[in-house]
Amino acid sequence: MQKADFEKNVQEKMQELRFQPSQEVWKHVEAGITPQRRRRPMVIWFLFAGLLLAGGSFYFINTSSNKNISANKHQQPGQAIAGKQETIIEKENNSNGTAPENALSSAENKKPVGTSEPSTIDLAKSKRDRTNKKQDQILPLKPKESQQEKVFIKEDWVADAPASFDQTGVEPRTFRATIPIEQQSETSISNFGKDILGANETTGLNLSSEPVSASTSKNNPPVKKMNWQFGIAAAGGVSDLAEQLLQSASAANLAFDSLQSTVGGTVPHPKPSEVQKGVSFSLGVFANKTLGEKWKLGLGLTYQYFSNTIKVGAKVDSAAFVNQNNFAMDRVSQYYKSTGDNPYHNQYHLISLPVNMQWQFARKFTWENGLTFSRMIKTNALHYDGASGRYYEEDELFNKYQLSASTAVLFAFHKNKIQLGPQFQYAFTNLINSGTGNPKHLRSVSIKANIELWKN
Amino acid sequence: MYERHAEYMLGVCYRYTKSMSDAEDVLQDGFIKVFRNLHQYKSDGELGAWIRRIMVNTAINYLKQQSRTRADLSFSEANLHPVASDNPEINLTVKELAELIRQLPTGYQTIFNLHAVEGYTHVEIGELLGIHEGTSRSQYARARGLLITWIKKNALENKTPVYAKSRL
Repeated sequence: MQKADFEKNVQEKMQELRFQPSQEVWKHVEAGITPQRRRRPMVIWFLFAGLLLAGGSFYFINTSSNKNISANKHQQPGQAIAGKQETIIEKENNSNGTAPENALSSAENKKPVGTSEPSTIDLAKSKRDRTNKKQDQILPLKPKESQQEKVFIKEDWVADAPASFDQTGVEPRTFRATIPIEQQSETSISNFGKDILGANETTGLNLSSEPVSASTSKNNPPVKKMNWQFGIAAAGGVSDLAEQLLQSASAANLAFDSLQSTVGGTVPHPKPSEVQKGVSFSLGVFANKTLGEKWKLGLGLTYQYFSNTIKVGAKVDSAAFVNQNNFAMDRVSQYYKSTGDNPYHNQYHLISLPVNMQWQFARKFTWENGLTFSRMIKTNALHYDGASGRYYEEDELFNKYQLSASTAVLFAFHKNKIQLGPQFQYAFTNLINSGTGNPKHLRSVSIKANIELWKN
Repeated sequence: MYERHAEYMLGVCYRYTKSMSDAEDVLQDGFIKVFRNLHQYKSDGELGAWIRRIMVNTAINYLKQQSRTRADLSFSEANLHPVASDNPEINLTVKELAELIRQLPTGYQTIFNLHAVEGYTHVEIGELLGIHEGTSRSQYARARGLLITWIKKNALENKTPVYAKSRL
C-alpha cells in the first residue's frame, strides 16, 4: 500500500511536468509532415505538367519546322527565295565557320521582283527522285519555247543553280535553273520552298556557289514518314444528366425555375421526374498522329448519342402556355402532364470533333484524355414548367454547342490495332441556356474501342 | 493540437532522456508520427493519451537507436543497487523529482518511468523492451530503491544529488 502511494505520488507530480518547446521543434515537425501532405497532389501536377509540356513541345517542333514554308506562302516569290537563301547561308556560315564570299549576299537576295539584275541561287540536287522530280518541274533546266516571249521576266528573277551534294565523294554536279516569274504561282513557289527546305533538311543542301560537302548520302535512312493511323472509334454505355461532375441531376430538364415562373396564385405542381440513366453510344472515324515513342495526338469526327429517361403523364395535343412569368410566356402546341409513370426517353444527337492526347504508360495500356467540341443536331428532350406542371419540347432552350472532356484507359491487343477500355465523358457546357434553374450537363460512362484500319 | 499538447508531451519526453535537446528530438519525431497517423486515431479514446503513447514509444525507440545510450540501456542483474521498501514523503518540486529520475541509469530510468509513471505492467514492459518480466521487476525495484535513497539524501542535505557521484 505504501509502495503504491509512492508510485501514485510520483505519477501525480509527473503529470504536472511541462516544458515550453522551442520554436525549432514545430518548424521541424511542420517540415516533416508537409511533404507527405503534398506528395499526392505533386504527382498529379507533375503528370499534368508533363502532358502539357510534351504536347507543347511537339506542337512547337512541328510548327517551327513548317514555319518557313508557311511564311513563303504569304510572301512575294522573290522575298520567299531570298528569305530562304538567308536562312541557308546563315546555316552554312555557322557550320563551316567561314564567310561564303561567293554566296549571295542578303542584299542581293532581297532585290524585289522587277529589278534588272538576276538573282542566282545554288541548288543541290536531291538524292530523292521525288524531290528531283519536283525540282525539275519547278526549275526546268531548259526553258520551254513558250516561255521565250517572257525572257525579260526570266532575267528579272533567275535562279542559277550550281549545286553540290558530294558527301560520298562524288564530283559535285552543277546545273543552272531558270524560273520564269510569271509562271510562279503561289503554290509553285510554296512547293519550291518546300523542296528547298526538304532537300536542305534531308540532304544538307548548300546554296553557296562553292561546292561544299553535304552531310548525307544515299545510304542514309529515308526521311521519317508522317506516322498517321486511321480507323474507327466506337463507344457504348450509359448516360445521364449531372448537375456537377460527380453529382447526378435530381430532376428533369428545368428551363425555368418553378418558383420564379410561378404567377401568384398558381397551384403548386409535383416536382419534376427523377432522371434515370439511358443508353449512349458513339461512332466515328479518327486519325492519330504519332508524336513520339509514347505519345499520339488524335483527331476525329464522331456521331454521339446520349439519352436518359424520365416519367411523364399523358400527352396532350392542344396548345398551352408554359413558362409564364411577369414578363413573358411561351406557347406550345402539345405537352405532357406531370402526373404519370410513362417513361419518356430524352434523346440527344450530336456531331462531335474530338481531339485526344494518348499517352502509353505501359506496354499495352494507354491513357487517353481529350476535349470534344460538339454540335447538337437534334433532340426531343423535354423541359418542365414548374408553374403549370407540364413537360414540353423546346429546342431553343438547349445550348447547341457543347464542349466536353473525356478520359479513357485503353488496353491494346491484336497487334495493337485495337484499343479497348472504359471511358468517362463530361460536358462542361450547361445543357440548358436559360440561365435559370440548376445546371445540367451530359455525362456518360462507356466502353470505348479504337480500331485501326490502316496507316501510312 | 500541437500547441495544446506540446508542453505536456515535452515533459514526457524529458523524463526518458538525458537532455532537453534529446527530449525535443523525441518530441519532434513523435509529433510527426502523430500527424502522419492521425487517421488511425479512434475518437472513442482520449487524444492526449493516444499522443502520449506515441511519445513513449518514440522515446523507447530513440533510446534504442542511440548507440551511447544503448550501452546504458542494459538491464543486467549485475547492477546491485539496494532495494528500498520504505515509502518516503516526496518533498521535492516537480522538476526536482524529474531531475532525480533522469539521473537514474538509463535502464532504471526507462523502467521506472514505464511502470511508476505510465502504469505499464512488467509484462508489457518486458514485451516493449524485449526483456524478461522478472528482469523488469528487479530493475524497477532497484531503480525505486536508488531513487528513494536520493530523495532521503536530498531531504537530509536539502539538495539534489549529483548523478556522477551516485552512479556505480
